[in-house]
Amino acid sequence: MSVIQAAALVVVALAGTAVVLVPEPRRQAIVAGLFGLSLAVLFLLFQAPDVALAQIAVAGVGLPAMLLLALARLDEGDEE
Amino acid sequence: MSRRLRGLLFLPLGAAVFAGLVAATAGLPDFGHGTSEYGEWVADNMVGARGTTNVVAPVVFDLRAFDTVGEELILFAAAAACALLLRTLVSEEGERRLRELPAVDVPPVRALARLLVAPVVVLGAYVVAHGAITPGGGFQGGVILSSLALVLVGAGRAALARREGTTTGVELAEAVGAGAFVLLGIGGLVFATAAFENFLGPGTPGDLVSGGIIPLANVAVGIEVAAAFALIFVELIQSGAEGGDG
Amino acid sequence: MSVLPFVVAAWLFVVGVYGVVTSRHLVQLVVCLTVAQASTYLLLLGIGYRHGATAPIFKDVPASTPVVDPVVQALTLTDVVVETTVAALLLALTLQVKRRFGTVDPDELTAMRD
Repeated sequence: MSVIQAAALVVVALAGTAVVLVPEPRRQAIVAGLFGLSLAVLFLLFQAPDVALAQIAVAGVGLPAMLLLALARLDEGDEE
Repeated sequence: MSRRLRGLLFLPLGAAVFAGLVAATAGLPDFGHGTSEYGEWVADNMVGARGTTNVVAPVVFDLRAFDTVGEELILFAAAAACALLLRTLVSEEGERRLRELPAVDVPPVRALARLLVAPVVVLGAYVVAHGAITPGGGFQGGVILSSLALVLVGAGRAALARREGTTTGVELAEAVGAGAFVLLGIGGLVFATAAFENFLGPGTPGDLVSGGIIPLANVAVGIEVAAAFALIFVELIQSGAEGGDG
Repeated sequence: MSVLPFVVAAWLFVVGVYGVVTSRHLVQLVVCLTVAQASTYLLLLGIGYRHGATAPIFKDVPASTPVVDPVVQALTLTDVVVETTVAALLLALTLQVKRRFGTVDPDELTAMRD
């Protein structure tokens, strides 16, 4: 287990904790995107480029876009 | 039970679960020293037997193709259910407001989005096509292609997302992708002995056309994943949260 | 040190479930669920890793190089994409809940059943 892998694991653990502890949903969407990208770096360090590609695409684009769109729709309902 | 009480109650239970999970993994081989006969057999033989240099692709689309078709149908069902749920939310009021919403008109965003359309298409198609050779494949390339829905909205073409024909076209593409994959499985039944058996020859490893049905399966999955995610994005853009009556 | 990946996987799972238990907003619940799902990816890839081995792509290395386990990568790969779609389904359910009950606070939703 190399030093970089251990460091990446610690970063992932911290990012996961940060995602859970952020209070506001909009900010949490951004932190969730960062958590996903840190996971993708970890997957690359574990010699899994296929999985890292999927994770980058999904957590960088897919999940934050869905979250922010859903949040926008929810707030639209509040304005009425 | 208040939220704080729930949180406090969870802490000892969470610690116990954490300790239990760590203790459970203590029986695993050391990190980096595990062995897997199946994995080693795949790594040793798939280049010759299936002609693909990416040995993860034959595991996904050839050896464990039943698993993949199941996952793909989960994706299909989830996207369809999502579309169903979101469509019941569109009300008269919501539709009127949607038509009057202006498209994105921040010039730098529009310019950047317009510049991005071609590279995204090329990158997505490249990742899908080279699934059998390099890291990539239908799932990754499909998600990349689906971001076109967002890029087009950023380019000021939000009207595309609102038109009736768009959802029909996207749904058609999703059905074509899922059906093509299932047809490949049936092709295995027809042309070879078992469903999803690789009935085309392996070809030369490293060529674009190699690995038998694997590039075709990649294209089918790519179309389906791209359409499913694009459907979700388009439905989220189209729906409104406030309802007519309750 | 060699159990660190599994410890981090267990930690992510527990932290994710803690987030689900103490969430104030249904969208937060979905995001914390995503964190818990990430623990399974980490566990699978941690099992498949081989010390000193490289990625299972033989395009530019000879076919006899030791590689990490490709089977677990195949499992995790489809998993990542499909579970995001399931998260989208949960978000659609959240929008429906907002429409029917007017709130997305899990605590208030529990109270409404009385």
